[in-house]
Amino acid sequence: MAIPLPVLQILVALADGERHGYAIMQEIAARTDGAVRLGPGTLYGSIRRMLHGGLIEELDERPCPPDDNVRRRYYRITPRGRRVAKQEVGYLADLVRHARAAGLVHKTT
Amino acid sequence: MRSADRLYRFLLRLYPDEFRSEYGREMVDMFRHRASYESPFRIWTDIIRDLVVTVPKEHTAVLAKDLRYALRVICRAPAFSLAVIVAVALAIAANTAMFSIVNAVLVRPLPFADSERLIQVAEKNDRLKLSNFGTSVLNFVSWREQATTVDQLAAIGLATFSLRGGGEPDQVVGNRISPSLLNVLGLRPLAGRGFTEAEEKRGTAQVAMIGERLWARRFGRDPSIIGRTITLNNAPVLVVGIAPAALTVFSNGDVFVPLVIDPTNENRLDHVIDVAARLKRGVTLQQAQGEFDNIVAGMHKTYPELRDWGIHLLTFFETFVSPRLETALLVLMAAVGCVLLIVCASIANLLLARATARDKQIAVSAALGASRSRLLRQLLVESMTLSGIGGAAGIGIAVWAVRVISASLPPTLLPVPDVHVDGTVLLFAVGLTIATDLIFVCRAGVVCGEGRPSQRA
Repeated sequence: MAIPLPVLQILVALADGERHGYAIMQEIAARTDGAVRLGPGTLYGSIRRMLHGGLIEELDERPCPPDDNVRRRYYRITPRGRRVAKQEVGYLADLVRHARAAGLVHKTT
Repeated sequence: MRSADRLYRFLLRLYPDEFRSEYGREMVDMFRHRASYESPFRIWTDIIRDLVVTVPKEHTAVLAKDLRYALRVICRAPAFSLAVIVAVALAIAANTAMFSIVNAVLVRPLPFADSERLIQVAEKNDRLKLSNFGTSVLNFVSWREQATTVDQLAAIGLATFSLRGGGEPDQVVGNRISPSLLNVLGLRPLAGRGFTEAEEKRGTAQVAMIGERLWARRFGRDPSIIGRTITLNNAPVLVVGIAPAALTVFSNGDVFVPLVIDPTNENRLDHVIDVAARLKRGVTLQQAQGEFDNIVAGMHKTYPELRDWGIHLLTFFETFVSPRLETALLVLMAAVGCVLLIVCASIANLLLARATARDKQIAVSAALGASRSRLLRQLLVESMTLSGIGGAAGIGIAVWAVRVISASLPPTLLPVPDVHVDGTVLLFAVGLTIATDLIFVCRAGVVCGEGRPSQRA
């Protein structure tokens, strides 16, 4: 694993649209049935590093916030971020395939 | 909910300034949202775990950035940086080297077991103004018979030997010692055995211990030397043991033989030996002195020729570290300390000069929103990098210097077998480096304050 798990989760959460920090956290929680809840420090620390590394970028103008008065910043995945995510997910898919061949994965479907 | 909010806001202060000002509001927002639908227990366990992991991470990130920037600044002004590093290195080296001597002589306990209970039993003669003089073998025997406040007494006499066996003939210094000496000092032979009480008597087999240094130099640390015969002053002598290095503090000797006591050959006024003793547990030096004063009073009646002589008990520390040596060491330590202070002051001035040159840069950073604590932190890292490199170099120089000093001092100048850089010295050097840095930074803080644009405009 070349990138930390929270970073990959954030990339996946941003793959289908731009979101603000809190929405990213909610998205990840929803997709994992509440099993993964990124803490604020982990979330924004990862965001800071991902911005620095060019994996995501901040939107200049934000979509109209529906429900609150805090000026939330929205993030979108960059082409570079998409490339890195694809590569990582590819590794993971391979890993899962090998694991399944080795009998390490429960049959789910 | 309000108070939970406030607590979280307070905990956010643990993060670096920049991080907090960038994301703090959104983090609080996120906390508030979660608090509206999650149990407090669940939230707080999450939050604490999150803080523990991410606070150090964010600080490390900021520090790494500052360090990279500091290295860039240092490399951009190589002459300045080199001057600072060399000055710090030399000052720290001088202090560390000096302190390693002070440490060896004044701080570290003498190389004997329970050394605070060890005393020297010396003779004194007020008429001749002698306060710490040797004694005669006969007086030693009398004391040994009568004293009850000390566990054991042991005598040490100086001797020279011509040594043959195991190489070229050689002239070596050594000591005649009581068999009880190792016991009194709480030492053990490195190998083989010490002397037995019987070997104190005339007519027993001739035996010797050799010092570790001679063992290494002349016999290549060959353990089979024990049980072999060497020739001392043209007589065959059996080597029975290797003496521990601590014995060299008495006269830097390499060969030890039993002090043979033959009362028919001795004179009460021959002050040829020194006497060491170990106070019984719980006995003070004053109590022992009282007892020895009584012993002397009794002896004056029997031996009128002793009437001008009394007994003076000294702690081993007083014996080995004369007040003159102690003063000299402390004065030298203070001197190198002053050198360090001067170096710090000069470097603070150099920093001041450079900061003035960088005034614009600082003003621009401040105008762009870098906080005062942020700028101070940057200066701290910068000066810490400089003094850190200087300090590390200084410790390196000190290790080398101590080795050179240790080898070139006359061997009996210091009352310790060797001087080296140990844990205490390293701790001192590191502490000194940090102190140096703090002086820089206090100065830099002043400079930074002066450089604020609000005061310049």
